[in-house]
Amino acid sequence: MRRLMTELPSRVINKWQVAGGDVCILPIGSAEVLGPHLPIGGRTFVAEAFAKLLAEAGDGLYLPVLPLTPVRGSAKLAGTVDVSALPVHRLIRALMDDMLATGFRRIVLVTYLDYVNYYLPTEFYEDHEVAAAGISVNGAVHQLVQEAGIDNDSVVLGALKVLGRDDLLAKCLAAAERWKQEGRENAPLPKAYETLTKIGYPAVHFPKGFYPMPPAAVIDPDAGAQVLRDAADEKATALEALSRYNHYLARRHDRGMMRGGQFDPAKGGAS
Amino acid sequence: MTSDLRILNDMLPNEAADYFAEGGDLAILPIGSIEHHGPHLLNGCDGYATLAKSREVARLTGGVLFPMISTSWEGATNVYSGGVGVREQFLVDYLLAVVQAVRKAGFKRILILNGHGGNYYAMQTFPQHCLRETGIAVMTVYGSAFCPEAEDARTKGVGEQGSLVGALHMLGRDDLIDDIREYTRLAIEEFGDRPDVVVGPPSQVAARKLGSVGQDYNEEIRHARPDSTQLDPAPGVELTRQIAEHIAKHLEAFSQHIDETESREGDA
Repeated sequence: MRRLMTELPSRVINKWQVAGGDVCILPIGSAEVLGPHLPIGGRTFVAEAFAKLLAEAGDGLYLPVLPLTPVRGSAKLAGTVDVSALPVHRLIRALMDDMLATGFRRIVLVTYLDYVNYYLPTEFYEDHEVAAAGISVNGAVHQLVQEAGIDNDSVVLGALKVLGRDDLLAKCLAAAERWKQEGRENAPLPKAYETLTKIGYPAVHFPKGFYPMPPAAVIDPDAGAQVLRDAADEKATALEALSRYNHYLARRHDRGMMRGGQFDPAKGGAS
Repeated sequence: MTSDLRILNDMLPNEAADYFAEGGDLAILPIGSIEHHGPHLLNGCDGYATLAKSREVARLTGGVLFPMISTSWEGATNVYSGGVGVREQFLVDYLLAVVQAVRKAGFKRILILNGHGGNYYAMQTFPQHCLRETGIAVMTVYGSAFCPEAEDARTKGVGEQGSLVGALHMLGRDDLIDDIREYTRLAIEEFGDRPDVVVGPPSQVAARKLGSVGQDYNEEIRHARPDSTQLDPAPGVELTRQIAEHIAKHLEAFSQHIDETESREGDA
């Protein structure tokens, strides 16, 4: 069965829903400069690849990527499109509400945006008492990337493999090779900025010539693709738990689980 | 990305910088929808048709093809499965933010190509709304862009189904055309070939004489009916190319219009 919602007619989706299908995944990407060898849509490709793999592993459907969102730091670099955050948040939240209205119960965001990843599922729960989930792409792959001995640029290139974009992958690998052959180096970040990052989160425009993901010493798209597959498989297991959790929430009669300052197992202890 | 087609997501940073250095300034922003299109067509029908058209416009003009905004307001198809959208207001607010970001990113000309009927009125009013709120003069284009050849093709029977299969062929998705052929065969078995469509229950038909009235498409085939004559991609391909050429030809006036509009001083 195809998993991308736009590739199916309503009848096929209806049949799948009647048989119990209830997972809808919204991948959220961006258009931003990441590395000299990485496509502007790098994070869009990763979000899409992850959503596709998760949908396949967890019997879900996924929506097309929301492609234009806020970015951090690269707004002044040619090719980046930095969209104001609040309209993006409102749009995503409205999409989540519509997913619920159209019969999905396990609603999953796949995103690099920490604000979206955290607040939207939480606020959605407050309004509907249905537990949606936000998957941080960085969080999902972090450990696996370290274990594989690669950097995040391999994950971006691995996403191209997952999506069958070998044409674009070849261009990216050639650009990485050129960068190395020319002996180029990443421009440094401003010292004042680096100093401030030791205590918190200063706003920044990256200087020209700086890339958040310069070509790593080891570039391995196959390993990057495997990281995405492993991360999706791991999250698919949690998708099953999300179903159980929502059944539990649906059976619970109210949201208060505390009685006289004590946890009441009769109201919420099981499963 | 090929040498004559610039796709934003596929561009490397140096390619983006080169584009601006060479004087490039055209962003092409497609808008689609995810909604029911009959028992035989894909929920992404509008988006595929718009994307194919947008690619052609990008190819003809040297503009940069942006990733599609795929979720719009769905309106009357909500009773059918798999439609996901938002109230029009959320789309408009998002689009306003996107336009400002695209202009800041260096694109002077912002062309919004919409293929979803539910956005018809919103996309008529959006350019003026955007100019009022941001001072940016964008251009929206709906459907066939008043292209005379397209109107002629429509009368000869190239409808949504024909446009979709043509678009899918142009996008290299003949695998999806195979799916549609099978879905159409099954739908024809059930509903007939080009069946008559009951627009709505008599009360709805009568109420709609007032004007715009809230409704669902009460028949599954109302949005698009199965049609065995619209399974060949060729007419849809030709139609899409004609519309794209029509758009590209008229875009020559866009830059001058932006200069005039954004710098115009009032009398007050």
